[in-house]
Amino acid sequence: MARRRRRKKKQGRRVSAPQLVDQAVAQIAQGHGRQALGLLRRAKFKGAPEARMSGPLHVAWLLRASELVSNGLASEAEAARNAAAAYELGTNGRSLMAKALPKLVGGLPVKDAFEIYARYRRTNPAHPGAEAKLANLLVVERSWEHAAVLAEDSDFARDAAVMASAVVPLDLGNWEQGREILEPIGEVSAFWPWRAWCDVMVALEGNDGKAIRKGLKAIPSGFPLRSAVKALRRAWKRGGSAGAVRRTSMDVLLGADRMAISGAAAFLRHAVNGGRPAVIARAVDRFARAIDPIDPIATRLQIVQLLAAETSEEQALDVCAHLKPSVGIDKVSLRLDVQHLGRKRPETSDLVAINQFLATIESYFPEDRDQQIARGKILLYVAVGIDQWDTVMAELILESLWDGDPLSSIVGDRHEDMMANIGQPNRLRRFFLEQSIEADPTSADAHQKLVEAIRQDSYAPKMDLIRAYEYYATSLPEDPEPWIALAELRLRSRAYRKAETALKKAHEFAGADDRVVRLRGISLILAGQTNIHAKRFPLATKDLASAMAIATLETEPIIRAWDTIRRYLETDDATLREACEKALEGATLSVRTEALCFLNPPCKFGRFTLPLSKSETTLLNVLLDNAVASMCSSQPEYLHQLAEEFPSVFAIVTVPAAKPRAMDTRWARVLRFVPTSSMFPVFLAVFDSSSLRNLKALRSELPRRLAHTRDRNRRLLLLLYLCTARYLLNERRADYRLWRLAENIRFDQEKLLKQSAKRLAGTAQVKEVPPLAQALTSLDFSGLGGFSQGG
Amino acid sequence: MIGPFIVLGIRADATEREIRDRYLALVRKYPPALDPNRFQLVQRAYEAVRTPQARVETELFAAVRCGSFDQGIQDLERAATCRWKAPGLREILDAEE
Repeated sequence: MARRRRRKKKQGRRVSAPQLVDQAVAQIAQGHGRQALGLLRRAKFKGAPEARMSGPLHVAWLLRASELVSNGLASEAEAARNAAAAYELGTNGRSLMAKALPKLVGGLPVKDAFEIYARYRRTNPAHPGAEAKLANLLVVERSWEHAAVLAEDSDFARDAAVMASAVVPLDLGNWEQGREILEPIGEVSAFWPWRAWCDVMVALEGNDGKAIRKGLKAIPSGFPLRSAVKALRRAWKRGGSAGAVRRTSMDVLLGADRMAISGAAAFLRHAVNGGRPAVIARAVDRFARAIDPIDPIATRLQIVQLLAAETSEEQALDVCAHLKPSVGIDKVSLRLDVQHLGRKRPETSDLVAINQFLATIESYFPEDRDQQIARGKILLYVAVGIDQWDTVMAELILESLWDGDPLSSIVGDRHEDMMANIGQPNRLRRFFLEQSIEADPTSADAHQKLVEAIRQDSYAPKMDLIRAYEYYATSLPEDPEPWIALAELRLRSRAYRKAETALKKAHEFAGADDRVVRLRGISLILAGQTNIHAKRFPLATKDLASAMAIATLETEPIIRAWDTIRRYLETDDATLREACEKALEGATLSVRTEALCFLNPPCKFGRFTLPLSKSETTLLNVLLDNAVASMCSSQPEYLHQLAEEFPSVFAIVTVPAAKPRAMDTRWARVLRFVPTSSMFPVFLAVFDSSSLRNLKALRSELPRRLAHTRDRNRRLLLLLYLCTARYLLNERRADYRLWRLAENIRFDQEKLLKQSAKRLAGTAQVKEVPPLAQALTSLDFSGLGGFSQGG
Repeated sequence: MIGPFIVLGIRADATEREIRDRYLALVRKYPPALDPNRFQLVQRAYEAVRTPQARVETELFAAVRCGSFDQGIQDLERAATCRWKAPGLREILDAEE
C-alpha cells in the first residue's frame, strides 16, 4: 500500500505545468472551483506562463466565490470575488466562462449572478443553461429588479416581466389564471419549466392524470421544486398507486394522496364484485386507511354499513369477521339492525331489532343525551311505520311483545287499551309519538308528527291539539311553528289575548314571516269585529288602528271596511246615512264597494253576523246602489273590479260567495257603463249570476256592443256570448247560430274561441244546462238541436 | 350524506364548540362566492352534525340515506378529497425548503 502511494506521488511530481493548467480547465468546466484553484496554484509554482493562467484563475476564483456563498461564507466569498477581479478574463477565459456559467450563476447571490451574466452577454450570445438558472433564481428570490441589468429587448427580460406579473395569482393558488398570463412564454424560454408546472397544477386540480404526467415530463431535472415534482411523479405514475399509502408533508400539500384513495376505492369495488369476504375485508381496511389514516375505525364501520345495504347483512357480518383489529366491530351488528329498520318500515320481525337496540342503547351511545335522542328516534320510526300496518299486523305486533322487553315496558299498562284500538292505527301512532317525545322532547320531527296525528283523529278533543302545540312550544321555544299554529287555533276559538301572546312569541323568533304578519293583522281585525259587535267602539278603534299599522295590500281594504262599519254603527240614526257616505267618500273605490258588500246582509263574516236592523239593511242597500251608480258615472274603468273575487285573505273572515250575491241584482244597471276594454269579465259575471233579469239585459246589450265593435276577435267573442245568451233564454234557432259560429271561424281564431267557450261553460247559468256546457267545452254544437226545437 | 366528520376533518367525538369552530374555519377558507361546491359540501356536513339530534340521526341512518354502495363510496371519496385545495407557489416553495 505504502509503495503504491509513493509511486502515485512520484507520478504526480512528473505532471508538467501546462498539464496542470489543462486539468484545472477541466475542473472549471465541471464547476469545481476549489480543485481548479489547487491545480492552478501548482501550475503557477511550476512556472506556467501568466498569460495562460489569468483567464482560468479569474473563472476559478468566481466559482470558488459561488461555492463559498452556498456554504454560507459570505465574507470569504467577497474576498474570492476580489481575488478574481485581480485577473483578466482574456480570450482563453471567455470560452471557459461559458462552460462554467450555469454553475457560477446558480451559486452566486442574484445581484452578482446577473452582473456576471450581463458582462458575459456583452460579448457572447445568450446562454440557455445560465438563463434557466437565473430564471429559477428570479422566481425563488422574487428580485425582479436585478433583471434590469440585461438589455430590455432581450427575450429573457421580456419573459421575466411576464413571469413577474403571474406570480401574484400563482402565490394565491390561482393556477388557471397564472397559466393564462404565462401563455406568451414559449418552449425555448428560460421560464418554460414554470409554465409547465402551471399546467401540472391545473391538471392536478382537475384530477387529470394524463395531463399531469405530460406536464411533469416537460420539467427539467434542475427545477427548484424537486420534492414536489417527485411527489407528483410517484403519486401519478401510470397504473396508479398500488402500494401502501405514503404521506409526506409534500404529499399532503399537493393532495397526492387522492390518487391513493381512488386506487383503494377501485380495489374495494373490484373486491365487492368478487364476493370473497377476506378480500373485501382487506379492501375495506385499505380504503378506510386511505380515507383516514389516523382513525380508520369509524370509516370502516360506514363502509360495512354500505356493504350491508348493497348485499346482505349476513355478508357484511362475514366481512366483519375478517376485519382486523376488531375494535368497534361489536357495534356493527347492532348498527346493521338499526340500518335495516331505517331502510324499510318496521315489521313484526323488526321488533327484535327494536328491542335489541333499546336494550343495548347505553353501550352504543355513551352520552345520556345521545341515548335519549336515539331512543326517541327509534320510537319515532316505530310510530311512522304504523301507517304501514294493517289490523292483523298490528295485532300480531302487540301480541308478540314479551314481558321484560324494552318495548313491552314502554307499552306497559296501555297494552289492553291499545288492543282495543287496534283498528285505529292513528291512535297507536299517536301513542308511540308521545313516547318518542317523552324520550326526547327536543325532537321537532316527533312533535310535528304528533300534532298531525291529532289533527287527523276526528274524535280527538281540540284541547289535545292545543296541549300538544303548547308542549311543542315549551320544548322548542325558539321554533316559531308551534307559536304560529297556536295563534291560529286561539284565533279560531276567539281567544284573542292568548292568540296575541302566541303571536308575540312567533314575532320574536320569526318576525319577518308572512304568516305571522298576516295572523297578527287578522287577530286585530277579529278583535275589532268583536268589539264592534259588543259596541265597545273605543276598543274597536284601537284594534283597527293597530291592524292598519301592519296592514298588507290584501288586509288594508278589509280594515278600512270595518272601520267604516264602526263609524256607521257609532253614529246616531239621524246622521247615519250622512256619516256613512262621508266615510265612504274618503275611501278608495275598491274599498268603498267592498265595504258596502260586507254590509249587505245576508253576508256573514266567519262566525259573525252584523247586528243590523231591517231599516239599516235597506239603507245600506241604497248606499251600495249609490256607490255602484256613482262608479258607473264617474269611474267606469274600474267597474270590472266588481266582478273580481275577494283576495284570498278574506277567506278566513268572509263567505266566498258574499260579493257576487251582493251584486246579483245590480249587474243590469252596470252593463251599459262597462268600457269595451274590460267588458268580458263583467259579462262572465252576469252569466254567473242567477238572475234572469241580468241575462235579458245582457241579451239586449250584446247587439249594441257588436254594432260598435270592429275588432275581429272581440266580435267573435261577443257573438259567442250572444248566441249562448239566446240559447239560455230559449230563443229559436239559437243552437243553429252556435253551430254556424263554430263552423265558420278562421283557423287562427279557433284557440281563442276554445278558451272563451271553456270559461263560459264554467259559469253558473251555463252549468245548469249540461248539454250546452258540454258543447261549449268540446266546441261541438251539433248535438244541441233537440233542445231548441223541443224548448 | 356520509362522512360529515371526514368532510369537516374532525374526530367523531368532537364537542359542539369544536365542530362549530372547524366549520367557521372551513367557511372562511372556502367562501361561497369563490368555491360554491365545496362550501355546499361543508355546509351539508355541518348540518348533519350541528345538533345532538342531527348527530345521532347521522350516526344511525347516514349509510341508509346515501343510496347505493357505489354512491356511498363515491361520497366518501369526495368527502376525503374535498378538503384539498391547490396550494400557492409560495407555499410549495416554503415546503421545499
